[in-house]
Amino acid sequence: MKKILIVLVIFSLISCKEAIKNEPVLVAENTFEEIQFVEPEITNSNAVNTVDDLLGYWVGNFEADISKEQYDSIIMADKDSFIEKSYYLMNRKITFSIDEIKGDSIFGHSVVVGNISPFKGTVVQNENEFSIKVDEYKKSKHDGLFQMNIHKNDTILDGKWSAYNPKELNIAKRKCKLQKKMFVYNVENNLEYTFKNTDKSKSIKVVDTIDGEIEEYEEHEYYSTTEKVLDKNPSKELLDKDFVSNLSKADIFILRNSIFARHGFAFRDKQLRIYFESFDWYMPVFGDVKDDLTEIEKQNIDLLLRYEQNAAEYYDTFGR
Amino acid sequence: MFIKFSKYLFWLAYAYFSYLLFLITIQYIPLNFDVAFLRIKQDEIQLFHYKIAFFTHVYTSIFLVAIGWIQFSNTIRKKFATLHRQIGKFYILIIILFSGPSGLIMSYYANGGIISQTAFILLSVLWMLFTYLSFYYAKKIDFKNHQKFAIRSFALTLSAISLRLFKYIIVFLFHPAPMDTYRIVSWLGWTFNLLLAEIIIIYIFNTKQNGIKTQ
Repeated sequence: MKKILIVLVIFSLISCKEAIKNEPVLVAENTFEEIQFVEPEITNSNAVNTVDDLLGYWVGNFEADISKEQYDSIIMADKDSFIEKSYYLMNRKITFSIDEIKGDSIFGHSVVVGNISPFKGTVVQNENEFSIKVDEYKKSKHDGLFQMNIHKNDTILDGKWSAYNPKELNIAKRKCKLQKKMFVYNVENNLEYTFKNTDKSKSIKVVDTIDGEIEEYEEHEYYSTTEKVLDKNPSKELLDKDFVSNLSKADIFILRNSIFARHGFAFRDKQLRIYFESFDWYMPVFGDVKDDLTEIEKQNIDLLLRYEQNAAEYYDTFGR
Repeated sequence: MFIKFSKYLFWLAYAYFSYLLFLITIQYIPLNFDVAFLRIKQDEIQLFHYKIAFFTHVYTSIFLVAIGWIQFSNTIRKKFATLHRQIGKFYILIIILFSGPSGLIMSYYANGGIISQTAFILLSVLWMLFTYLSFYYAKKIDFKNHQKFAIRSFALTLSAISLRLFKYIIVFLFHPAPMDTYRIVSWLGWTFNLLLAEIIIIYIFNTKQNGIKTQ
């Protein structure tokens, strides 16, 4: 089959008019939530024998706790987005951070889809298990009550969560089986594949000649990075202008955010979250990492931001 | 008929893109070192001579686009010959003293490495040369050559528009990496114009015996 692709060029002079964009472009994930937490003193033991072993970051899946019928109805209602959307709705990830234990009081914060919610409650020690009951006390739409327990000498924290305002959420009950994981900043954590934003696409008209017959159809073009993001690690080496100046806007965006990801930043942006969660090393723990950045990273962020802004304003416009 | 139509279209587009160039120019008013193109020229803009060159180029070049078209009007050339000469001198003076040399300095610091540096240096030198030659032949009352070089000079002046327009089209069609695009248009932006100028010159001087009718 002979396939010749001809992209239709219909661009009027008017379309050039957007040419000069003077308004500043907002850059996502530049701001940090100002929440302070006590850094937990984490014991080396993954199995829990004493109360202190509970301190630390517990991570795992945060799945919808619903019946088969409910599950099916959500999937059915979501036929437009190839089920992906409802899949991520039902299978979230959680970092359950236990920051402080005083007597039978327990303090910490949960990180789910970039939302950081502080909690407090009680921990009770029985003969062969610990049971934890905590409240996400900000009482926002996404907050709820956790009830968890772990057997002594076990490594799995088993829990259930129910929302305060079940009517406002699609999923009002969730369950989780969490394991304690140390957060370690590692410069060597690399991006393993490119990024594709499935929410952001533009359709282009393509005229295709198949066996002499002309067909016209629409194709989706996603906002995505090139392979170049895999070439350099902006936490490890200073990037130079030659390299950065030839990156696409998405490349720069991902490279810059990869720095934050290495430091355990909890992204609120869904696409970034899904992308970074696909790497084993990524652990969303913190709402603010700007104090942890190294000198190399700070310089790279400055440079990347400069070009990111430039790419956003000038790449596809009439100008240099 | 087709020629006449494309002529009108050309001047219409010319007016529109001049307006866009004007919008680009006023981005730098008031004097600002951290805006638009300069945002990615932060190392260079620290240099005193680059600063001078950049702002000289930006502030003077817009006048070339604003007045250049007048020189090609038959009516003005015939009826207001003095005006033609005065505008011509102004145009030449700006290029030889300001826009040209400042462009040359900036060419040396062009983004995109040796490929685009060479392109822009060549462009600046040819621009000044053609402009000077058109003046030189006008003085010698050799209007045929005067016209040829005036057309070439103006073609290179218009590379300010064509470079940006090619960039827009190439990005629209192929979305290449930004610096690759820049390297392509650093050459395409003016060689295309020069080629077009030669075609126009051949066309004019083949159809009319003495070129554009003079007095």
